[in-house]
Amino acid sequence: MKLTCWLAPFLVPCVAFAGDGAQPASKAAADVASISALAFGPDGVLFLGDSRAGAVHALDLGERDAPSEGTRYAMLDIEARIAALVGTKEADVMIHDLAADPRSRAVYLAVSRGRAKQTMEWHIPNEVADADILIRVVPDGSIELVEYGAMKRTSVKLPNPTDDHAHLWKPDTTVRGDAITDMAFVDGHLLVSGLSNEEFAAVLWRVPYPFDGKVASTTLEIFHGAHGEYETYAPIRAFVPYDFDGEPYVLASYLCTPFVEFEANALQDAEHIRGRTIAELGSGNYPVDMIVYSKGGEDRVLIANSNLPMMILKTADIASFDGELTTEPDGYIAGVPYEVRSGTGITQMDRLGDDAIVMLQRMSNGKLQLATWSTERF
Amino acid sequence: MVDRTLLAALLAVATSGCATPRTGAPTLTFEAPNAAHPTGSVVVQGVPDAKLDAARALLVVRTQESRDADGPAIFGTTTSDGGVVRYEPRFAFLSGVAYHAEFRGTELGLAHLARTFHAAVRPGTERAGEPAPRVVAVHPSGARVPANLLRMYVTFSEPMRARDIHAFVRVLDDDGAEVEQAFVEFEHGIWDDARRRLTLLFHPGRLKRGVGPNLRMGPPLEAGRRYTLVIDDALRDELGRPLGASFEKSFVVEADDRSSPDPRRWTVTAPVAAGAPLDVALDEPLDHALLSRMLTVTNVAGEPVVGDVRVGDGETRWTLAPKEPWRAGEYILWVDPALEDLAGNTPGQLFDRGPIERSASGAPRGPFGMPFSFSP
Repeated sequence: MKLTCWLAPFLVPCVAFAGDGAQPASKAAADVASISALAFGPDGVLFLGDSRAGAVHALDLGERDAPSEGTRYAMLDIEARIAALVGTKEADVMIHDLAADPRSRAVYLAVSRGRAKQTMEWHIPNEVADADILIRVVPDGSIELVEYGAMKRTSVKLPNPTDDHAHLWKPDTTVRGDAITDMAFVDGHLLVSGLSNEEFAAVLWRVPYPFDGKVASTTLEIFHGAHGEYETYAPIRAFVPYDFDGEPYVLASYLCTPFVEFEANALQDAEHIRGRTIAELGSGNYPVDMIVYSKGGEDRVLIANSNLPMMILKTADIASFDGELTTEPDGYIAGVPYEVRSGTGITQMDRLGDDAIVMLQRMSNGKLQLATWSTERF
Repeated sequence: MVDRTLLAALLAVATSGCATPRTGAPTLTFEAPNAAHPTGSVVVQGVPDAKLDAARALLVVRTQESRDADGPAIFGTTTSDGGVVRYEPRFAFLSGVAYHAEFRGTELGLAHLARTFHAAVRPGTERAGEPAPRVVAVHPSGARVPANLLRMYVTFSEPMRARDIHAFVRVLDDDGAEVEQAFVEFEHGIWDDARRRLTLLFHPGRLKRGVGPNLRMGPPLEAGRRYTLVIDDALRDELGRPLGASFEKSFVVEADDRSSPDPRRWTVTAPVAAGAPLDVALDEPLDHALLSRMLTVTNVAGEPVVGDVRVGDGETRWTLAPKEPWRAGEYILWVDPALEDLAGNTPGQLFDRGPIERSASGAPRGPFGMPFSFSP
């Protein structure tokens, strides 16, 4: 592996995984083969979801700067700036995920030099390239390279991630890039959505942190309104954990665009659970990212979409929605009411402290901007 | 003529990156990825030992995109072991990306070196036994050119890939330093329809006396120096086959050509036999491409004489071998008034002076006919 070679003098001892599934889960540091998803954990821990290796790595960022309140990013051409630093053309820089450090407010980006391979509208970055570059954008606007290979980290293998078979309907695409689609840390656990090799492919892995080698796998089933049937093979594209009356839930969204609620306490190892589809947000679209924020004393879920405007669902409306969508709705819009906000071309989104949201947005001039919005706008 | 857009572009990119004389003899080379240096390297050799450490900070490697935008260098490390300064990018150089390496040696009293390179050849589709493409001609073909040379033509044996052509072409001065912004860099170059002849246009704004780029940067070539045109070996033809070896042509630069070509000083030698060529000795080397189509022959009735045109003797000789034998009678050799010499001067106008200011020679400005006769 290229990165290993480069950093060989600095590498901490690592454990090589022989193959998928057969090995017991480990907590030793493993090589990072791809940075498919990013999520922050407690105390400056950055989780790297690694679809290629079928693993999750916890990267200890070490001592961080004190939280810098009021940080705002306004970088109009972040792909060009990254391209210059990683030695490629602006048009080849692809950002696979974004996570903002809740402590330092630095923005971390998983990057590859593979955007030229993104040849269809529905290609998700992880389906066409493996991100191998971790970039840190700091509040003063400078861009740094994070040498994660040389940093202290622990790893855990996910049991039975999907193999690399051909995608059902995307030509020249395999599904391994969807082994990990999103991650969030809650209550001492990292939740990881993706695809497994199980009969019911869609999965949520529940990984205790600090890693102890144990991972609970729960396969998922939902009613998909645009398809008019129960499905198990499509992965969650974006999710957020949320407590209703002290009970933990996972609010998840899918391609075309069901919005589903799962009881987090049901995420037990080797179980198969059915989510409750509580909204259909429109077809021809997938959710890019979801966050929870507060405005006017009420919690809201904000969804950035690939092909639809931004959407806001109030958690009170979710809590009071008793029904379940089990039929194909007219126009593929039904269930929990939502508001829309302007905001197209959003490719990544995360919370930036309590009062702001950081986004990557494709502008009409083709440039990708890193921008910050006040939560008041939403 | 220089259009306004071009001038604006020239003004925008005008920098102080011109080569300066050097005291040492360092060289700047690109090394493709290999086992020892898996991401590729840019190497400066010939730096005196005492200056090696200081030289590390002077080697700047950027993408051409970043360099054009005056952007930052690529993440990488520079070492000075074993008598060479070596830059290795943190992430391997990619094929299909143009890179620019610069050694700012003047800070150490050494040469300023700069070159653009393509890191790797694309996956080839070479077919065994087929000859690699090659450069078959460069015009002007002579060994000496005026300092205000306007164009060069490079003719290849095969149709070539045009993409990012300027990353494969450079002019080095006699110190081995790349002449910065020598040519107008059209994205995919100026090619003939067959994509075998590449036209390299020296920056007109740097040649025209008194316009912005000329005042800021001076002309690209200096009289009295020797230069070398280099076509990089990584340039590929349409089938993906590389040149195999880089091509070089050296030439000596003489004083500016500030006079118009004058057809009245040409020697027109009428054909000596019905199948023999018409032979025209020119008064100075003229533009090769224009010569091929701007001299024509008709009979007195205006009917064209079709045949095989050849340009030779360093573009100072033009011949027409007729397809049909000459018939006894009068013919006219017509000179298109747009015909240019190597510096873009036409019979009626100097390249950088308006038509009102007639050229010193007083040569004719309109279509100009020179009669000759054939008698068997």
